Amino acid sequence: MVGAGLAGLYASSLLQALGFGVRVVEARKRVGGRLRTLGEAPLHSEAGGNLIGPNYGRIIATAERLGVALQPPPRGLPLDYLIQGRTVLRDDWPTSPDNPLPEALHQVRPEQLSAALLKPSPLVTSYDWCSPELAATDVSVLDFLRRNDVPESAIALLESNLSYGDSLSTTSLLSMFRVQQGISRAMAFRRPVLEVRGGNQRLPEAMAASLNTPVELDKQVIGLHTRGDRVSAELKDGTVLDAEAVVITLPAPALRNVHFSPGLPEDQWQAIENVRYQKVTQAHYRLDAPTWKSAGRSGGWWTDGALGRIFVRPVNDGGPYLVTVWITGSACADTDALDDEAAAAFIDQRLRRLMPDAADGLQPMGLVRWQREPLNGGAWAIWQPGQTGAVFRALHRPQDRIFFAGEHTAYAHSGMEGAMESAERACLELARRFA
Amino acid sequence: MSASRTVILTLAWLLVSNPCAVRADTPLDGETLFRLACQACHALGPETPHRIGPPLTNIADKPAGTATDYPYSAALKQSGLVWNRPTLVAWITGAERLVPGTLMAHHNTLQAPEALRLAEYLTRSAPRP
Ligand SMILES: Cc1cc2nc3c(=O)[nH]c(=O)nc-3n(C[C@H](O)[C@H](O)[C@H](O)COP(=O)(O)OP(=O)(O)OC[C@H]3O[C@@H](n4cnc5c(N)ncnc54)[C@H](O)[C@@H]3O)c2cc1C
Ligand code: HEC
Repeated sequence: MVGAGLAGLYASSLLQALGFGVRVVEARKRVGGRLRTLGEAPLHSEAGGNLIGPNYGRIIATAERLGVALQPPPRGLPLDYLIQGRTVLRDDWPTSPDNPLPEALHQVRPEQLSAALLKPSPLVTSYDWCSPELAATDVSVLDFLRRNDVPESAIALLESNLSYGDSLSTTSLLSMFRVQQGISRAMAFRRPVLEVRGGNQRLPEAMAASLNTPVELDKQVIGLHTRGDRVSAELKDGTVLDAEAVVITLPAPALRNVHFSPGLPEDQWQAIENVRYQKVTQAHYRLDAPTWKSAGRSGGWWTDGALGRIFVRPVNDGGPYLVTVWITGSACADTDALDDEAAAAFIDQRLRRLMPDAADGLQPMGLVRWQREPLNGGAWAIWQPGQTGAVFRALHRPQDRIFFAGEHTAYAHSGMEGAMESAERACLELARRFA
Repeated sequence: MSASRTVILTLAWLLVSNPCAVRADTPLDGETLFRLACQACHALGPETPHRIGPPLTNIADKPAGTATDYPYSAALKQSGLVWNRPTLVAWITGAERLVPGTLMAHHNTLQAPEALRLAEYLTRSAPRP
């Protein structure tokens, strides 16, 4: 098993339950991959996977089986807006002269704009988004908006804080319909979203502890070589491991650094090279008092500038609070060229300017830039127009004794539950040949 | 209801499009298929707690949507389906097309003979994974 994120850990437990001997190698010095909790509970902050949908059957059952407690997270504070340098308080949005939207859309908040404009969706099943027929007619979100005569002011606002693309012109419309459908499917369960008590990373830690053999940390696979009826995994430290079969759960950017021999088929390698990953930069802070109240602010912010969105959530009623600056997509370019210290200073300076009353109280907890970590190369797979058909499918086509899993290979779910779903599929493919 | 017609259509489609997809390797038994494709969301034992989906204990000949205290979708409750081998195969291979609006978000990964084997396993008396 290559990778000890959710997909690798879940696949390992499934294969062990079927009687396979499994060795798990993980390049990092910790398990969990894109689940990463900063700080010590209860003052901890999620830098990776955040919310567990009430429809995440595999995650919820796994937590239950391992005695890992799930709970609804405290409600985040509402957002005010900073648009082209001007503040619009939440309640003023519909009537503010600084609301740049045309009259008909004045009531729609920036964070709701995408759902309001991107419809009707052609998706019926949870996996229609990757149907080759629909993918063949897919367009970019920008093309769709232009065709529907959406005013440029609305388009400009939509370009900010993209979570599923770098720009509207490179974002698949189908992939956005998938996101919307995922939200409504979760809501259909009429139960609250969840998080792991003590931090989401506790779940992969418990999963790793439940395996028959410990996860081997700090072991990076750099090559997979298939010869006859064996696969050998070449590690960066020079060791070679020998296996009957391999499940590899790396995100596409990390797969690019693995040498396959024989090489993967051209279309599969192209898919691995071409699929892009969401840029997410986060700066985490702790704040002891609700300093924004005296200034009449709501606490959180949605900006069209360098700081992206700022999410504030209470740890307890009345404080302390966790503040996360969440910058996505092209806005990450401001800091991507800087080293960690300079990037943190860049964000810090602007945050203190935006929240002057909090300036003395903000205590930095860490900076995370997922796109700069070669072991994942971004937060999650994002899809360009047309990629959700053949490209998506090529990504996880088994090659002889090598099977592919991970969030980017899931059909019916995304994020954490997608990682788990993909593990079941890969294990089935493997079991068919080797059980 | 139109559900039974869809079942027939789905089965016909499966036979046409997936004639002998399973390789010459040892076929996986119903229990293994259940473990790999359903167990996370469904209990199947003597004690029948709800997971995210309802328990599938003794499902044969039961009308859909009738496990006690499970908050089914209106779509499944009103589907008129009764669980037997053909309806289960149709459900396993395309639940969301068979009953649009169902809460079971499920992309089938089983090949036609596997779906049938799983349906046989589920309709056998008291299977226990
Ligand atoms: C900022 C952020 C917010 C998110 N929010 C949510 C959310 O709210 N809800 C949700 O459902 N999902 C969310 N996600 C997504 C979710 O966290 C991921 O989909 C999921 O954790 C991915 O699991 P995985 O096993 O597929 O991949 P990973 O967790 O990336 O696991 C792959 C593992 O492989 C290891 N690896 C890489 N290269 C090698 C190598 N060469 N050799 C050995 N090991 C290697 C990595 O270190 C890693 O541990 C979020 C992700 C991020 C980054
Ligand atoms: C991701 C979770 C999930 C997975 C995986 C899953 N199911 Fe379900 N299943 C559900 C949910 C949720 C429902 C309730 C659907 C509704 O109310 O519309 C359901 C309902 C059902 C029902 C109807 C039961 C009744 O009481 O009428 C059957 C039968 C069923 N599933 C069989 C299966 C089989 C067989 C598999 C494996 C191939 C499977 N499910 C995989 C979540 C899942």
